[in-house]
Amino acid sequence: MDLLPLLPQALADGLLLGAVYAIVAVGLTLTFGVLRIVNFAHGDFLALGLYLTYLGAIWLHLDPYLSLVLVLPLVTLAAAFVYRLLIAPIILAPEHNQIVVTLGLSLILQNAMLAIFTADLHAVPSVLSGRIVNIGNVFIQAAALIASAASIAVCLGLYWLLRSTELGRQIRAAAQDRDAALMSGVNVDRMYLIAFCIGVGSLGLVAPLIAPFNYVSPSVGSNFTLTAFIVVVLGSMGNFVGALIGGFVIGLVEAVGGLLTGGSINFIITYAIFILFLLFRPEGLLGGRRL
Amino acid sequence: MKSMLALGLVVALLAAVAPFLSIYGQHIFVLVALYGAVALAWNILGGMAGQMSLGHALFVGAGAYLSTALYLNLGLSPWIGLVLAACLGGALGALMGYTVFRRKLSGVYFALVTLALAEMTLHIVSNVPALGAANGLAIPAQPSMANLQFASKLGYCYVALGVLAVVAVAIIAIHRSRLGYVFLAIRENERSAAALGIDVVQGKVIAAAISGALAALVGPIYANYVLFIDPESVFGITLSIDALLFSFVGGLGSLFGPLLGTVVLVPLTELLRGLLAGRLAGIHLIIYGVILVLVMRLAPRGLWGLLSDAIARRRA
Repeated sequence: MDLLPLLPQALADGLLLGAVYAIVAVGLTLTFGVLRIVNFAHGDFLALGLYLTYLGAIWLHLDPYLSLVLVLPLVTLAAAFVYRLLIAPIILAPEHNQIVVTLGLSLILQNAMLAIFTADLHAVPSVLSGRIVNIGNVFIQAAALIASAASIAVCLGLYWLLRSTELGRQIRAAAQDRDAALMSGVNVDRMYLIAFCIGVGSLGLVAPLIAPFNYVSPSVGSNFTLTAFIVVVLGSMGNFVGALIGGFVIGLVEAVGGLLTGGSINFIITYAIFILFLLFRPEGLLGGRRL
Repeated sequence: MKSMLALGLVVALLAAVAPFLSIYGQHIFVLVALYGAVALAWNILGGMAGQMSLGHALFVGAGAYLSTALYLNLGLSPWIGLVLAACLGGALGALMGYTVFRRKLSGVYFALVTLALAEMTLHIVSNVPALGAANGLAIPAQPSMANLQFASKLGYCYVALGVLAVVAVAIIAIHRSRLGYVFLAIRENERSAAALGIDVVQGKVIAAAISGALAALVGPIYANYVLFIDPESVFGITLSIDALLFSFVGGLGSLFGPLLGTVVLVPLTELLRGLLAGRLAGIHLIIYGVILVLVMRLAPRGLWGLLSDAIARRRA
């Protein structure tokens, strides 16, 4: 079969997927870059956002785009709560303990959603569901286009926030040298809280946007967590631009790999890339530049 | 010698108790012994040598698939498969350890490599038709000693106890040898260990190889107990997390803490499963998560640490 005519479609799909991966990974890299904590529960907050969107649809008959105004603050609030309860006490703990606590959090979140909502897949319809934009012979879902555009905009917005505002300067100070920042009067604990809330809260923005073209299930989070890890390592841990580039790379690899091989073989390719990077270039594509 | 003697006594006692358990009790006995063996094997690398793996399912799965594939295709006895599984697990552990530790990857990077290796293997096996792909492999029930299958659960109790004993003997032997001190030195401070002339990379590779070989021993026995394996059940991340969880709850780094964690958590899981009768799927994992977080916050040395503190206070 000649696959060449299908290539533009795969490239478009890959870029759209990549943008969503990028924003999820940017959140992960922000929490890692600032708090130095690897959050194994990151994707589960996305699943939480998706379920909140779903509840908004069945209880309040809200379109996913409208439930955004509820989901974003709720997920951010959940992030703040989790930070105070679980993350703040382990900021200075050994790395092993931090990993175990976030793994435990992931178990709790994922299985709480499983217990409450069961493993059934749910779809959250929107006015835009099924609306297709076609450019030549490339077909794109309007909802996916919006989600990707918003993801890129949020990535750039966060980059601007960190680079060009006073708040960003303080967050970067807390990230670069905790003690020096403390001595210069930066409220490090507060910066950590804000960074965690932004990193995790951004998922509350992504969730309603991807809800119209994604199934909601308790395990959706762990898939995103793994992909986000791959993207973050690829783009250098703690590096914003790297996460953006890494997101597009993995999105393209998955879409084009899926076209060439079909089935779950493209996961093997993704993991192989991940392992090779971890082994031979653990500092990622862009090297050690942080935040 | 004293600890070996004590171990022998405990094993003899458990072996004597097993026939008097109900069928359900024997089922839990087998599960505790098998999970306990995996947790103890994990602890050699994760606790004693301080390198946290998130992919020990890789070894269990490799062992299970190797012995099952050889039995189904060539009629090779799972007993031989058991030996080959340990060899494969050891080789995989050494290879993984060599490639990773030579690159000076540790901490979260090591955890991520092991996680990715296990997940990648899961997807590879899911795409190999000769290994049953995503459907898995079923073993026809033909109980006989040579087939490592037993008509009653008691036989499985003894085999599982045997594997647990092998792992325990290995741990005591390591603890008493120079190797135990090498692991300890590496865990506590790699740089000082290197300054003392310890080959850190070699030490970690040995830890990974032993840990992998012992974990792989559990695979064939699990496969012959359940008579069915599929990629998700033996290579899945759930099993890797279980090994880590039991070890952390029981007491990371202590010799037999991970077994204590298993003895507490596995029966608890089964009890809950019985009580809820299929309702509220995943509730035991919520409880696992809560216990894990609480242990980290309140008793970072785990149940074993709590227990030994209590005993020390009694004596004082």
